[in-house]
Order: sequence, then structure tokens, then C-alpha cells
Amino acid sequence: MKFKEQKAIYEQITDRICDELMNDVYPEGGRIISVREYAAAIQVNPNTVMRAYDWLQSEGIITLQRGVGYFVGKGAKRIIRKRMLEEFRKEYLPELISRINTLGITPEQLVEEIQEQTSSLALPEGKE
Amino acid sequence: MTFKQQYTAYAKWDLAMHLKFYLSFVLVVVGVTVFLNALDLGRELMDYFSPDRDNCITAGIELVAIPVFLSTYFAIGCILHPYRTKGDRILTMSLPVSRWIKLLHNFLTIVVMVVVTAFAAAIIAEASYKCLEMFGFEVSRGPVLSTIWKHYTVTPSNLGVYDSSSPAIYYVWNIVRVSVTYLMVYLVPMTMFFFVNTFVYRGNVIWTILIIILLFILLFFFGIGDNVLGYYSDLSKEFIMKHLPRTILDLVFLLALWLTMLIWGLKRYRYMQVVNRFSH
Amino acid sequence: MLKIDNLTFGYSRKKLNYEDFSLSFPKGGIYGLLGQNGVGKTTLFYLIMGMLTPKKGEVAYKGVNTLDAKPDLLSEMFIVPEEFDLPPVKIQTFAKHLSRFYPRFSNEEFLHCLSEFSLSPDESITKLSMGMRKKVYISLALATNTNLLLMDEPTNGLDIMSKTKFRQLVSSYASDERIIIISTHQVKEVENLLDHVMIIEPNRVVVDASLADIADKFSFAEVGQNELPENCLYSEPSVGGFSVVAENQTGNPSLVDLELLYKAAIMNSEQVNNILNQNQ
Repeated sequence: MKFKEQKAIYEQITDRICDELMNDVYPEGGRIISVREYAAAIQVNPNTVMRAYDWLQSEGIITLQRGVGYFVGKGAKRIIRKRMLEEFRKEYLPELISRINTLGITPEQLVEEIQEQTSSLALPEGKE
Repeated sequence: MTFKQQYTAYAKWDLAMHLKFYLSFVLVVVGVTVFLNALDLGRELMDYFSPDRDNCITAGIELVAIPVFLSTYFAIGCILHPYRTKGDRILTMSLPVSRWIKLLHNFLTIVVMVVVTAFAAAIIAEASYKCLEMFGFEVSRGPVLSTIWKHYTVTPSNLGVYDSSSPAIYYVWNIVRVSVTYLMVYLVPMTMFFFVNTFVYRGNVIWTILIIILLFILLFFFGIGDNVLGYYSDLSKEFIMKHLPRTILDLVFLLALWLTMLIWGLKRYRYMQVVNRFSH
Repeated sequence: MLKIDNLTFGYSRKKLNYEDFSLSFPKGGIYGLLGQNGVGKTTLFYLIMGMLTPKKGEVAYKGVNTLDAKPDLLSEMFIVPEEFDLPPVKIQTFAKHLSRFYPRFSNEEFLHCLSEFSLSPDESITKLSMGMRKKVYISLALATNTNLLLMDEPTNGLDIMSKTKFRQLVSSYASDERIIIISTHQVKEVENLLDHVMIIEPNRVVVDASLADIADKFSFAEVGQNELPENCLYSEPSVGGFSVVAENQTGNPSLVDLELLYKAAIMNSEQVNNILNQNQ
């Protein structure tokens, strides 16, 4: 039995911030808006945002300069990408595999399907 | 804040919040007074024009007393009416002001309103007499303003003739008279409105009106305190001895009525908590 | 900081709304108070504010009994009631008078809140709709900067844009020193603002837990027809299959659905509480 749970709010917020960072909303080493401002903007309790910021800090994605504020960590994008890949491998792939098994698609057929769709969509090459 | 600062701030608050209400109520009272005066005058005029009566309009005490007292009672009711809506009560009760200041201010406002409306009624009465006189009617009447003044105050000057032959009786008589006057004119109606307001709070306006009518019936039609009001000039020993027992009875009755209202009201008023401490 | 201790209260002698009821708010934060219609949330608010006298027990804020209605304590408390009444004056007039009683009242914040709600300070309150008046009340509440703020169904009557503004403003207002208690039925509208939730049934506290705790200990999910978990605490049919509340066995905090938790708590309070009390 698989519980399709939704992520806790603070996790959704960390995803959102990582998303912002990957899309260069904040430049490398640039300042991130305060916990309070972020909380007000997305209409949530500041403690929830604080938890998100704490987690991002512990992962090195953002850094805290006491008295100044939060800044984008060095190599933040690299760290985020690494986590995203891990999530891809640990969560997305198993689900995909479970799916294709249910539908009776072999891994080879899946690769074929992917190649066909990729070429027709002309997606860019895989990034570093 | 100091007491004075708190009081000033609260008084300004009360006035700013309820001024429109106070003013409109004064207007209502004045309107009622005019109406009653007109009714009474109309009656007098009918008598005047009937063939048997002499050609003089007697402006009786009713012309003055009824509107004056009515205005008093309504004025008191109007002061307490700011507590008429739940929302207003919530605001006022939660206001960071000592409840003693709230109580003091209410009391002072009542006094001011009583004076204002009483004199407004008096001026209207006086004006109506003057109008009659201007139209050539002969009006027999006492001095309106001083009569009203006498109704509301018991001062040495209007305690009447003092017969030195039996001072004790006079002392008793005056104490009783003062007590009856104050109970009738101030405390009983104040208490009534203060606590009867719980009915209005609960949305029961009918009950309030019924109780007001009941009190008027009691006080006026049963002549309670009659002996006290209006008879300032004749203070002979015979008069006093004749009326003292009845007046004392009136006093006891009024005291009992007041205490009953106070106790019952406090129990019900517990819910409203303005005099919180007393209700524990 | 705020402690309700063995409270017993009833509006009438026959029926007690609360009997030996206790609840405490130990630290600053945004608390949600949920409960069915008529359970007594408003009554509880009035009791906290010291506007109702309990038969037994007490409510203490910062160690002081709120029933004493000491102005110093009252200046730290404010309630936005569900039923309210604002005086017939201009918004800024009202604010000016109110500000005298709350030492940390900030006119700047007041004007900021008003503009967020698209209201102008020199509008007359009489010309405003109910929803707009509510926004004025909320703006005033936030401007007083009291450390205890009670809001009874604050989002009732607010339009969609205003609800968003409300959340933004309350989010900015929260701090570690402030206790904000929001009583509501519209759980979804304030869910994300809450630090802590209390679910009450007639005279008992069914749930008293932080949102973090709830997220750790419960799972909320949509499952398909054959996926109902064994340890399901509550389920109901939904668009995607079934909405389910179960004990969280994944070790990861889940996305809390307070409406579902509320239903689970009402239908299955024993199990819900057992889970909450684990790992203490």
C-alpha cells in the first residue's frame, strides 16, 4: 500500500525557494528576503518559514549572516541539483518503475518511448 | 495614566462615540415634552372654553411635573442606552479604564442629562404659557423654573417655615422629605434603568416599557411622595402631623422597592459585570 | 502566559457551558480554536477578557486574574468580536480616541492596515458595509499592538482579496511575545497561519497540539478504493477516492489537513489523543 502523501508545508517552502534559486531569482551570494517578509508574502506562519530557512541553512543552500540576513550559499545550485537528482532516483524512479510494471511495459520499451518523445520535442541536452 | 487623565480620555471617548445618540435622545425627550404639554394645554383650553369654567387657564403642577419627570427618566435611560448593544458593551467593557471611572462618568452624565432635559422641559412649558398670554389668555401659574428647581433640590431655603416650638418634628419631616425626594427622583429610576437595561440587552424592549409604565403608575397615580413634593410653603405642625405617617410609609415603600431592584438587578447584572466586585 | 484554570460558567443556573474546564496558552504564537456551532467559543473569549464572571475558577493572563479588569492588563488585551458595533463617527476619529487607551497603539500601522484593506481613514463608519467595518476593527486590533489578541471568526464577511490581506497582516503581526487566538469555522482560510490548534467539544478539550506535532504524528492523504490503511482514524469519500487520516508511520512530517483532523478528532477522539500523547 502506497500512501500518496503531500509534502509538509515547510518542505513545500524549501522546494519553492530551491526553485527560485535554480531560476536565478536570487543571484549567487545575493541576499534572500527575511523570514517575516517571506511568511507574509505567502501568507503562512513565520515559524514555518523559519523551519524552512533552518533546513536550507543546514544543507548549506543558504547562509545566515548575523545581524544582516540570509544569503545564497556558495554552490547552492550544485547542492540543490544534487538533492533533486537524489529525489529523482529515490522517489520518482521507483514510482515510475512500479507504474510500468503495472502496465506491463518493459524497461527497454520505456527507453524507446522516451527517445521517441525526446526527439520529437527537441529538448536540450542533459545539463552538467 | 493618572486618574484625571484616564477620566478625561474616557469622557472624550464616551462623548465622541455617543454624542449623536445623546443629542438625538434629548430631541426625543424634548419632543415628548412638547407633545405632553400640548395635550395638557389642549385639555386646559377645552375647559377654558366650556361655558361653566372661569376665564383663566390654570397651569397646574402636572403641566410641569409630568414632562419634567418623564424627561428625567428618559434621560437616565438614554445614558444607560450606550450599553444597549452587545457590540458597544464589548468595546466599553474591554476598554482599559478603571471601572470606577466608568461608573463615575455614567453618574455625572446622568446628572448633566437630567439638568439639561429638565430645564429644556421647563423652558418649553414657560414658552407655552408666554404664548398663551401673548394671545390674550389669562394664565394662572406658579414660577416654572423655581418649581422645577425645588423638585430636584432640597436646600435650606426651600425647607419652609421653621416652627421653633417643636424642632424634632421638623427635623424628622425634612429628613424623610429629602429621602423620599432623592429616592423618587434619583435612585429608584436610576436603579430601574441601570438594571432594567438587562432586558433591553436580551432584546426584550417590551419588558422595559412595561416596567417603566408600572413605575409611573406607582409613583404618580398612587400619589407616592405627593406629600413631599410641592408643599414647601405650608409647614404648620398640624399639616406635618397629618402627613408625616403617610410620608414615612411612602419612604419605606420606596426604600423597599429600591432595595428589591438593587438586589435583583445585581443578580441579573452579574452577567454584565459593570459592578463586578459587588456581585461576587 | 494565558491560563484558564478549572473554569465553571453558565449563562443560566440550569445549564453550565463550562465545568472545571482548563486550557493554557503557554507561549506566544497563533492559536486556532475550533469547535462546532454553539460549543461556547465566543463565551470562552468573553471569559478570557474578563467580561463574564465565572462561577468557579479563573482566567489569568501573565499571572493576573482578568476578572479584576485592571486597566494595565486590559491595555494588553484586545478582542475582535463576531458581533460588533462601531460608533457613527469617522474611522480616524474612532482610532484617535481608542489610541489613548493602548500605550503601544501605532497610527502608522493602523493606516498601513487600512490601506491594505483599501479603506480611507476619513470615511465615516456609518457609510461602510459590514465587511468593511470588520476590516476597520481588525486594523484597529492590529494597531493596538496588544500581546493578547482574540479574534472571533475574523474572516467572516471578508471578500477574497481581504482574506489574503488578513493572512498577510496577521502573519506579520505574529511574534514570540504575542498570543493570537483565532476562533473559526473556516479552517482552510487560516490553516497555514496557525502554530497550534485546539479543538473543543462541549466542556472538553479534544485536541491541544502544535501543528508541527500533528504533522509528525498524523498522515493525511487521498487514497484509492483498495488502499484504505488499517490504522485509519477517519475516512470520507472524495473526488480522488477517499480522504484519509491515519497515524503517521513514514517518519516524515505530512501536509496537515485541519478539516480532516477535526473530523477525526470528533469521531475518534480517543485514538487521536492516544497518538498525540505518544512520544511525550
